Amino acid sequence: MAEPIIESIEEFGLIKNKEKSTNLFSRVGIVGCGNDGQYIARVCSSYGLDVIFRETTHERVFESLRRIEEIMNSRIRNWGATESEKKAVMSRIKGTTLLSDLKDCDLVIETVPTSGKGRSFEARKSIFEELEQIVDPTTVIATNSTTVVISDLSENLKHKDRCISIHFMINSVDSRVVEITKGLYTSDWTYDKVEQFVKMLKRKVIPVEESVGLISVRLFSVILNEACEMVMEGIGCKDDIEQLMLTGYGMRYGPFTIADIIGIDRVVRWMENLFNEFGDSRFKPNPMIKRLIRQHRYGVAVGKGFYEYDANGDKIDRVHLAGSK
Amino acid sequence: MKILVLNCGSSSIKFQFFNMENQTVLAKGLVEKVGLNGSQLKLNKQNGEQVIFQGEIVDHKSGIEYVLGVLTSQKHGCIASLNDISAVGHRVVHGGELFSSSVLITQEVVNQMEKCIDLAPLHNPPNLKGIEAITELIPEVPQVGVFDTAFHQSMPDYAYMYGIPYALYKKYGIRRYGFHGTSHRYVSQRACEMLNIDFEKQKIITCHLGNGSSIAAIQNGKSVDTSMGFTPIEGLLMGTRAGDLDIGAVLYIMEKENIGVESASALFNKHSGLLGITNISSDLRDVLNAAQNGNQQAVLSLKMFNYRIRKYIGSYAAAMNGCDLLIFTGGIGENSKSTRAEVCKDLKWLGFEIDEEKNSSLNGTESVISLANSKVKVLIVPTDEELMIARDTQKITQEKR
Repeated sequence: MAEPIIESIEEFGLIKNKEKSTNLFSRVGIVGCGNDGQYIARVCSSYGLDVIFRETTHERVFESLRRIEEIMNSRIRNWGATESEKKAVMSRIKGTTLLSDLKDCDLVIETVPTSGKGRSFEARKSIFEELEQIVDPTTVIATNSTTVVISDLSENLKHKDRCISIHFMINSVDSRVVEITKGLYTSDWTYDKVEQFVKMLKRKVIPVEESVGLISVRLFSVILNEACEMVMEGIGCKDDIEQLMLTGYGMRYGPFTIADIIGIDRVVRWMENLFNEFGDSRFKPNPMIKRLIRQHRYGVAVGKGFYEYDANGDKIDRVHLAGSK
Repeated sequence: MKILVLNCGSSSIKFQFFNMENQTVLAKGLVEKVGLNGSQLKLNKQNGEQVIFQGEIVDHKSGIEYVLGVLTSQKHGCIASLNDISAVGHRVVHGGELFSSSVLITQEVVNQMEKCIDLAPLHNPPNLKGIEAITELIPEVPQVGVFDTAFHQSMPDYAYMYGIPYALYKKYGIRRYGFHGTSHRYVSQRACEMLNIDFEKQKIITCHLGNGSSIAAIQNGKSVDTSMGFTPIEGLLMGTRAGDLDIGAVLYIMEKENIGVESASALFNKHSGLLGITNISSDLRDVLNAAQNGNQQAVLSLKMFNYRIRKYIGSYAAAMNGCDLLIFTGGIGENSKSTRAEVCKDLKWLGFEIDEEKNSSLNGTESVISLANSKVKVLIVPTDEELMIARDTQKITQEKR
């Protein structure tokens, strides 16, 4: 068969010379590709978007790609995806060590890890400023962070109206919800575009007013602290509290398991940031949580946190194992 | 009369443009990745040329606008102006209980179609977008909706109801609807035309076998039963769908594998069927190859695939108290001689006698493949849903005048 003829479609519209549409994001950039970055990359790619992420070293780029692939493998094992879907997802994700490679993106999400005592704020702020030098003036620049407010991050930018906060929940495949926050300068255009983007990813939009910790992190921190407090006071044991929240309130995971999934170290950083912001002791990490940190029990990622986990990240059922001996 | 047929999917638009004077296809093609990166429009011209138009296609409206632009373009088009389009026919997946035949689209019809969105949340919204786009772009051109479910609306209640609380039927419309209706209708009518017999006096079993498969029992011109149900999962073993499956097993799997609705849906829709049994492919040709090379799971999957079809044929022959015609269509039905041979094997007592020679030599062509004295005529009829949609569109718009 003869080779197909290739044409540019713009010549063939009924309405000529129309403005190039800017309705869509087609290329998403991600700065920092840890757990959150990997999750966002995978989800965006699943819905057909091209993704390019920046990591600091080639080793980290390689490691991020490996972990995204591992998550896809796990999705396949759990019936959530197919081999061909995995191939398609992986083919759309590229990694780089150069921020300048993100220049063609129409949305860039910053997902660098949170570290305590304001260090991450400065890091994020300089990423925002660097990005502004690289990308188009219409490119939306967003943060996935919950512990900084977007108005502060974007204050030195020339086009602050395109900055917004987009917080993905990554606890489980069913956490199909995203918190979106407008800053002081964010334009309606930016918000609408991001809202459309989130809906395209088949996720619910939760609009949140600008406030450290948003809804998700602020509420969860208090629940976890209170749960730990009750264990320490001897009011109930860990398993029973967990069970009560599962059965009694119909949660998919209890507070201790959620903390393990998120990462204890990360939860602590959240809490410290909230405590710094509000000065309220209910946000201060409970000693039980601090103890886990000292023991390097960071959660599912390292195989132990409040509970213990096998290599696949499945909880090891101690009671059951003891009973079967 | 020239008719444009549109089939809008979630991120694609298939189109065919017919000249109804001689029922030829003037142009056809596909818009891919609507609203996504890398969107393009592929056009197959009547002279055999293929043209790929690349660029941003943000939504269905813009995709359809380009289709119309391409059809009327000097360089690659086949008509001088949009006035040459007499009508537009749309494939609509789900018509619920509101539509039992094709209809002229009015605002009232659109309102009713919107009520069916819950039943086909993935498919009906893009279908509606196609209608909306045509209404905006060429408002004076009449449009017709042709529903995948409509032909099966003639099923009697005892065939379409499930044995679950009646309240759920009233509340959510949970019942069997069936799919591939346009295909079952086309091939059964076409077979009667070929044999020059009265469609309204036959007992016909049509097997639409492709990546998705369904069987229908058609008595006196009406569908009286079909194997797909509330969704296209029910019935035959398919490329990646499980087909009939004990609900108890579903619940047990969900509990044991600790999966939610989404993963369960993927499990039974995408990981099951031929692919699930063989772990090789959802494509019957790959499975046949593997079976020839001695792969036991492939052999098993083929036996299951054929057995299910035989079981349905037997039950539909019983349901209609006989059968005059058995028709094979769809990618597998038209092109897999071994499937047809295995399905009809040893069914002489029921009146099915395949001519092995014809079954092989006439593979893929519109033909009768049963022995001359076979009580039931067995046929291959390649399906043509687009032509059926064009015919319905022509008929309905002419009646309107």
